[in-house]
Amino acid sequence: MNTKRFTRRDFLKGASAGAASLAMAACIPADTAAPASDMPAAEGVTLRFMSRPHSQLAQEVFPDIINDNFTANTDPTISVNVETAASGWADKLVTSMIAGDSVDIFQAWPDIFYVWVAKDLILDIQPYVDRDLTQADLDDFIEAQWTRLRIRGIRVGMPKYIDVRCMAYNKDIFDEYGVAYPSNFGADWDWQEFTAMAEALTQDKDGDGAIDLWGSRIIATSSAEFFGWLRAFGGDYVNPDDDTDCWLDEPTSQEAMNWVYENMWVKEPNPFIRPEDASGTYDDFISGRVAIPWFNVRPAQQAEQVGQEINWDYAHVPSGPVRRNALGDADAWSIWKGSSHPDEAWQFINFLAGPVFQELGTLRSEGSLPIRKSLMGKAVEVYREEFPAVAGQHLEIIPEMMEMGYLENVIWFKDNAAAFELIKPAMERIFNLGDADPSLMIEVCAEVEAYQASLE
Amino acid sequence: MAQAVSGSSPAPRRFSLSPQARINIAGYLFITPWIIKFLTLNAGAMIASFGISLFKTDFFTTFDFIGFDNYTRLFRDPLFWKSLSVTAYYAFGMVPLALVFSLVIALLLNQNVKFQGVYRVVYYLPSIVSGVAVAILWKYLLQPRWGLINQGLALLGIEGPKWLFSTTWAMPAFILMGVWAAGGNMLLYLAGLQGIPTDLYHAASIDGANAWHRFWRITLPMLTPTIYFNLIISIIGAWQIFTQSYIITAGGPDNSTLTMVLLLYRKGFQQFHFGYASAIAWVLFTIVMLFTVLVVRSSEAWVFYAGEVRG
Repeated sequence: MNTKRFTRRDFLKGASAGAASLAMAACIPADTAAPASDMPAAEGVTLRFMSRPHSQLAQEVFPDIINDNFTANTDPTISVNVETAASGWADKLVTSMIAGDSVDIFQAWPDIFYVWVAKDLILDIQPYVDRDLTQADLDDFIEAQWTRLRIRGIRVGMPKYIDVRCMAYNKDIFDEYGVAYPSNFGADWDWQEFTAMAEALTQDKDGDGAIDLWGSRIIATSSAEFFGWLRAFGGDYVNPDDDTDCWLDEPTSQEAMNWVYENMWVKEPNPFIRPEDASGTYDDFISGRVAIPWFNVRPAQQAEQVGQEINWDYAHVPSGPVRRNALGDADAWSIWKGSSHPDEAWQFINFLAGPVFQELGTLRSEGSLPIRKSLMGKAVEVYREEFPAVAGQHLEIIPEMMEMGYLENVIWFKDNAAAFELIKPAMERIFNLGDADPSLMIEVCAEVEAYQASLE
Repeated sequence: MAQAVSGSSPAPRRFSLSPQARINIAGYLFITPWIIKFLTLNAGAMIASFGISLFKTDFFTTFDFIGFDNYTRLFRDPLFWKSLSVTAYYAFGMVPLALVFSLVIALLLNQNVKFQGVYRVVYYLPSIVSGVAVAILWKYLLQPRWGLINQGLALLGIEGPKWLFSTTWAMPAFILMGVWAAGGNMLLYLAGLQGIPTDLYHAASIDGANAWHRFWRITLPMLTPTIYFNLIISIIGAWQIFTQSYIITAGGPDNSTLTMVLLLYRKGFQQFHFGYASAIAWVLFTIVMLFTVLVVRSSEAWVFYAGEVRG
């Protein structure tokens, strides 16, 4: 942990004065025609905000950032009680919603939203968005993320940060085996070139007859991971136009799954590490067991956990036969539908997604990627400045990904938890155990579709 | 004087309790906090959950009374039967092994050896480490290629199994974890061992009993109340196994570690079928109760209380 990077004192100094005008600009409603709320705007409203900070620093400074930049500068009548989420927060949140005693604002992500919207637990903020956000505001959000926060007909929240998938490659291993680095940080490579590199880098280093260096690592049993390469081949997890239609049996999806399956279980030697040989992503990468793992862009975390242990860099995911695609996950702040203070809660989440909090809270204190395109250049600067261990990496991949526009998010089944209860064991047999091939999904999809179609 | 005595009102009868009644009242007073807690927090919730099991409900949009449909659906659900068999495998495998292992460790730690306290702490530690931390630790230990366990087996010339990547070995791996964390049982055995009067051992030695006889005729019978307690607690804990399968395998591979509580959790908190989840909870409760009653009933035949006179 780089303890020098940012102290609470530094933080508060930087946060106060300059932020005020930005906060005002970002958060004050454009006009006064507010969406109707049952409660009149009250004096002395206290919002309950369940925060899930990604760092200790964020946990410490969030209340002050909010106090200095929202309460003081936006609406002094609204105070915010920050409640840090405990373990099992999602279950506790559901329970408190059942009991009618939930926090007003919480953070979640699309698979949770998908279920909770169906249960009518989340306030549709679209009327507020229509009222308060300008076209310039909307253009500043990352399209894939903004689009996916509209779920089952409502806008479920304001984006919190963006979690994006990429590749990483170990330059030392490339050098050792005379393989050229992915050209242009992977902006030009495709799945065939990637596979050929992975094959070339799969080695029995100690000559004991067992492979101990693999070209790549792909997690194939998580929908957040596998949908990217399914789409690269033209397939998908769910039919985008029908959330009861399983697409894992489509020829394009089957082709994508066969590509992974063959590289994992059929080819000798197997260029993609099997789950039974893998440890954690960072462990495998740092220890030199995997040369080009599927990765994510989390420079703050990677400065700490990968750092300069090896000579490495980021690369774009390779494009498939049809297109390039990777996860741009859409975590968001949402308002509980039972909140007594929806108008004030909206003002607050609009502040959280605004440029001030995104820079001070999301980027500088959490070290997460902000959700505004206008902050991407700044993000690169801040990461270089605050996290010297990754200063030499190609952090420009962040704005490049946004420009190349290949980030997307998963589409879910109508009852995704029930669907995944059938899909996951089959995926485990294919990719984790290797005792079935992807055609198993054809019969599983039929079961999934029969159940999904039976839902009201 | 006699008149004066006869003219006065009769002396008030002193209300007195028998010694046994006093002991009983004291006992009830001691458990009163628990009874209040049970009645207000547990019993109410249990009754409510039985009520909920008779409804099709997500608590938000649906609350339809369906009688015992959740129970009939449950018995037609292959995932329920899978979870039942997985949990039973764990309970029948882990409980006897943990009881024997913790007894052996307690016997060893009861010897007068150097650093006795250190050994006791070391063996007890696993039972107080958080379930999540234990789960993550074991995930690394059980990694088939690089994990410490298979590396150790390799040194002995044994090719270790794939553990969590095998439908055959995943549950034995969980049993191994359960046995490793049997420090709580061990501590109770130690307390039980300390409570056995040394006179008995001296008398037996004078009569020529060897170590095995002393263990079999004195230690084991005198420990049966502790074994009885550990057995009941272990059975209840084993049927409720959740953390390992939730954290390490998420029920996989291919549902080979899908336990009843994990299924209950999925149905309730992930799929919002709270009526169905409550039905699973009641079936689980019935199973645990059944085994507990069996053990309690059988205890008369094998549990020996010192000083107890049997007719």
